Amino acid sequence: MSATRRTVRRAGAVGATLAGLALCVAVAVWALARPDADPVTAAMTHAVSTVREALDPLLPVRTEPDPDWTRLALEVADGDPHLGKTLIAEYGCGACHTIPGIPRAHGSVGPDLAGLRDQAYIAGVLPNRPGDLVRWLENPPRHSPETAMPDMGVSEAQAEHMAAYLYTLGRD
Amino acid sequence: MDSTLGIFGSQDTSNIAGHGAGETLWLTVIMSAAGVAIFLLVMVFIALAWRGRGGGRTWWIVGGGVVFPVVVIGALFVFSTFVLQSVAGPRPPAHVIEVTGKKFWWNVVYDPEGRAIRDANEVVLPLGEPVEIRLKSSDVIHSFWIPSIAGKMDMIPGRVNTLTVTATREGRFRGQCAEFCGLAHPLMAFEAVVIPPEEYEAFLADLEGDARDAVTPQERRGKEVFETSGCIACHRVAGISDARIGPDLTRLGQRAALGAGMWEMNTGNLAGWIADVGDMKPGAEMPSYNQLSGPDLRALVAWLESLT
Amino acid sequence: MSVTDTPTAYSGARKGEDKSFEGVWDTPPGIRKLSSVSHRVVGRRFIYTGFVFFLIAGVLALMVRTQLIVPGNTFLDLETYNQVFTMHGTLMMFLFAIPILEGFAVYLIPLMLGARDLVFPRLGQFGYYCYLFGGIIVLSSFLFDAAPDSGWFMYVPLTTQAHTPGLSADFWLIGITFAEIASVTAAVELIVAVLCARAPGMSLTKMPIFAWYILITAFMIAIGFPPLIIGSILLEAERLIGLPFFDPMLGGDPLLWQHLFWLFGHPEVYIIFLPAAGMVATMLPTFVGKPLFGYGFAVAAVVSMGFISFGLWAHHMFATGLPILSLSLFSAASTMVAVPTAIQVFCFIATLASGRPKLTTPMLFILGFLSIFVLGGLTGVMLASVPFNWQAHDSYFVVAHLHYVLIGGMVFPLIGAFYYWAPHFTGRMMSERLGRWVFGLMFVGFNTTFLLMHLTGMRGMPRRVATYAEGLGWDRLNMLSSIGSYILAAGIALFVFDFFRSRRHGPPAPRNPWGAGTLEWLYPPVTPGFNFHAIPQVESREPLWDQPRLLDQEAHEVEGVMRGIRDGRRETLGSDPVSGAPLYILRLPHPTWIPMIAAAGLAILFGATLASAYWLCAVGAAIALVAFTLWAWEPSDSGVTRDAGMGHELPVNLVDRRAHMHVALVGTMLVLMALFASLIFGLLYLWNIRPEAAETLTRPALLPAVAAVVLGLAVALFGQFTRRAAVADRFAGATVLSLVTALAALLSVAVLGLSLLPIDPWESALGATLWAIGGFVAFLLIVLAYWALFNAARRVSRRMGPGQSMPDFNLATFAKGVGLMVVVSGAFFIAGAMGGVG
Repeated sequence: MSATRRTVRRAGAVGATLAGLALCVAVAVWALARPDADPVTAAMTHAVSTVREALDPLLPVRTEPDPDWTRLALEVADGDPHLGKTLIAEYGCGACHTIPGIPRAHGSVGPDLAGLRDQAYIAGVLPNRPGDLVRWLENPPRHSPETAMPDMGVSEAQAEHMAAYLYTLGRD
Repeated sequence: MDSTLGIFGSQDTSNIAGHGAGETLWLTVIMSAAGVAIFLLVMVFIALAWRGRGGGRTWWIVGGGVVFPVVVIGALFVFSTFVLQSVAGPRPPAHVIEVTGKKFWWNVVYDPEGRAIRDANEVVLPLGEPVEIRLKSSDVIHSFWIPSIAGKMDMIPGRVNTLTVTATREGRFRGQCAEFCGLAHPLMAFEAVVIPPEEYEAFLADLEGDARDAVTPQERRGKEVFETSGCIACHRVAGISDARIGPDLTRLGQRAALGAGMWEMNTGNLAGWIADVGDMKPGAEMPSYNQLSGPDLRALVAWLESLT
Repeated sequence: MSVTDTPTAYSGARKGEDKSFEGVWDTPPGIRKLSSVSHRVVGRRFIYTGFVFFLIAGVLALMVRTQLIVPGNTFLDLETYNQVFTMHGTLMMFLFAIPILEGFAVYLIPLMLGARDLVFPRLGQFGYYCYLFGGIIVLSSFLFDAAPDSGWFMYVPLTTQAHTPGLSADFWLIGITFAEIASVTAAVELIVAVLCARAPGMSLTKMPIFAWYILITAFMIAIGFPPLIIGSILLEAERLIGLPFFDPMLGGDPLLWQHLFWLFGHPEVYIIFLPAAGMVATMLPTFVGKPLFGYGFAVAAVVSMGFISFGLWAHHMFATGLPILSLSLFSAASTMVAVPTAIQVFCFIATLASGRPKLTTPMLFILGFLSIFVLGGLTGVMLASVPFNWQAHDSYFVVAHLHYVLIGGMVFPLIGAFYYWAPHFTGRMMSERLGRWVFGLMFVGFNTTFLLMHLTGMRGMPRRVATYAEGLGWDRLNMLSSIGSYILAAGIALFVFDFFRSRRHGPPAPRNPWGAGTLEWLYPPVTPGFNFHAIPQVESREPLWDQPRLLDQEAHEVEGVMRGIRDGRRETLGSDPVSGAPLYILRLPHPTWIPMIAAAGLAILFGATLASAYWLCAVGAAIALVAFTLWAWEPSDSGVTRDAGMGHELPVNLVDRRAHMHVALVGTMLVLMALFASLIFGLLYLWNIRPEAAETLTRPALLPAVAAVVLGLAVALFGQFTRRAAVADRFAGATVLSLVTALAALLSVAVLGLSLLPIDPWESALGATLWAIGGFVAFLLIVLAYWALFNAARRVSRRMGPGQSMPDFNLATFAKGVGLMVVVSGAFFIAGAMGGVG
């Protein structure tokens, strides 16, 4: 083996060791940080968006596909699914319903909400449309006096977010 | 009131809120640092040995195997004994709380030899005052642990263990059962609430009173459901029933968490709990009340929530 | 050279069987291979069976990690999770770690010490089948949907009938106790094998270091397992017939179980660690090319570790509310164990420094062992500090610590040992290249899994939780731990692949492939079934390095004693326990089914107890009893002298204190004494902890208790008289005295019973414990009586000739031990009758 090759090999080994160490440190920081103040995720997100922006002019222009009418029909105006997800967890919906994506939500008191978007009616009383779902979430007993689902004091804005999340479920 | 659920560090030994946890954290930090240093030292030794430095010499074994450990261990033992004295040494308690571990929740009695004020699944401590916690069990062995406030102590049938804690910071902290106690062991938590000492007497006085009156028609209906559906056979609600099998519900609405610290206290969780407790907490002795009609269930939930 | 003496009337070989040297030692073909008693066959069975349990327990561990990968996971429900983690711990501790290490010892000890087999080959077979059947009973609980789910530590009262109805706890108690018989028998067997059957000239100071490690470990097993066996029997009695040993309402105490469990449980950790450290101490010098540095220090460290390990059990119970003073004492004792551990580690480091180490696969695992185990030891010292322990106890910190100690201290050396000794098992080398990958995956996977757990624990996550709430700061740590566990598992899977691959495609192993110094590499792999044609004189701890003549010649031409065959029998050299000087020719049994039948009888007994089919219990017990009787019913070989070669004219099966039979009996007495001491510990503990219960206890009857003391002395005395008469070849005298001994034993049973008669064992824990002591001693007395009658019957039927007094010789020692127990029990009954010593 020539001296140069040996040097290259040694440099490679040192590089690999350093990269491994850096990976370990990054993973450790990620694991230990508070999830809401995590420098590694922030840095990664930042890096990804920077790269994407840099690459954007180089990528081929995507053609709009045919509009997905079902999706558009279930669009909740002003509803933020991410916020909805948090709210659903906070209001304890999982105590009665199985809801994908919500930790510990595997109740069987009420229906499984994974297939809500394909249902024709909400609780058998309201047509399954965004506005009606929001109204249902705000106060179920008003629409169905015999229901076991209580009024949980959800505001209209909150109900919009929750509905937005529920309509994202079951989509491929 | 927000519970400790989902709060980062609420059950962390380094998120100090008590005398015992604080003293112990020092010990932990110093021992860990020494441990890491010794570990690295041994690794350096191995690396040197690998390169044949020094040859095998008897003084390595005597020095590394006998003298060094004896010195380090001796120092550690002295340090640890001081901390032990500080943590567990006798301190006259200002208050006494009796906590009994049950499958799978905590029965709490304030001032057990005096007023015997009952509550469950939440332990309220006055800031800065030593509190003697008497630990009992009525079935299997549990262990009482609030990592942020103090180390753990077992609850053993037939024995009374005591743990004297002094809270050093206001706030809510999580505790959890630390001895495997059967099916729902992972679902047996509680909350420790540290309040200003000047509010403590008022808190106890309030806790001692009867349950709030039902005000709205729905709440009155809920109380009726409670009395007629069998709930009173197990649960105590001061002024209504005095059963001692399940947790005391007199101030249920005041607690921030439900099901022994496992769920946020809110309408949705409370309704789900009553309708299908077996799903939320397998192994709980409470049956699921899914025979209640929808409006009755909602009324019961509304009344229980009003018990603040 | 072949010695052809006139065969005696008895020959172990069957009629028409090949009586040549090779023929006598052949492992029988086909299904009869199961009747083999060879240590090589039995040892490998222990190893392979243990490894299968390891893989099963490993899959359970992966299920645990998969369940915990995210908070609130529903992969397993609570009940299944509890079963899975319980069985993971149980299988790893009882059915993997100890048996597989004993398997290595059973396989290697005779080869290293220059013996042709273990001295009690049938006991080895019996132990293996007890282990196998016990393991099957424990595992079969999954089929009955009754897998134990109360943790491997089985704390009461969770495991009592009230809180764990059904059979799950019984499966654990019965199956594990059964499997423990294997561990205890193997321990006695190994003690005797190390002490009584070594190559000429191999004094204790010239023994390979591995033999020292195994000797100490075996003693620890003999003393350490009895507390758990007693605890399990008491708990099973509480579950089955309601005796209130642990019931606080009736004067019992749940903590008694914890004391008994950890009296076993803590030494067990060292029982697992020491043999593995012994393997390291054996492999390391090979790759350094220099002998172990500080042999004397290492031996002293191991011996002191053995003693210290029995003094720290309570550090598992710091949070149970022990008084501060005992906390400090146990804390100090726990930290002290770091000294002998450090001595061993530095012996290894000094050995590394004394030569030029080669980085082979086993060496990688040794380095892995050193780094991981040192870290585990350091966290162990941390845990010995009481205030820290109150935070860390039963949290994931402890999970991390114990896996660092056990995986680092045992699994890494074990996998290294497989790479090292696999050529000896299979005749083929495993792959060095794959070995490096195995090591890399295991090392990275292990540390990813467990290093983070220290932090998870410090962040307050308790152990044994099937699920945890999200957002407390444990989520990401757990996810990484789970990912690490998959990497670790990939390493193990690759190892299994490499093992099977090498069996077919590995390069054939040359003679002494690693250039080792110990005797097991004398023959080219695979060593013939008799291990040695002639047993060479040994002059050093590394004979293959220091005695060039051993490797210069073909292995079968090496000079030594015992070449050839006498009387058509399997035999090896019996040596002086200290000096290793040849003492006698040790006759060994030939392949037989009887131990397996005895084990099967016991399996039926235990299985039927589980199924509550009590008539079947009787059947099983009868089968076992008949098998044990047949086992012992063989003509004695002693009383003749044969030429052993190299100028040694040696007696066959010496009648002497140093004889293997007698050493084994002393070892057995050690186990029985430990069992008895555990019961006495229980009595004194309950007496001390619940003095008010002792006040209200019905008193034992005084007069029979006094009679018991007298009769206990009589049992010992008549046993001794029987021995004297037998050794002097006074036939009639020995026969009559045996009968008198039996009578005294039976009378002792009667008076013990009479003394206890006023006490209702269901009324109080103390009463139940007194009955348990009486029952245990009575059982031994009945065994003694049976044995004495058995000896008399053999004498009358002329199966024992002049000079064949070994059975009576042993009986006397047994009678003295049991007599002592009778006297001690009687004394306690008297104390109880008089109003208490407490």
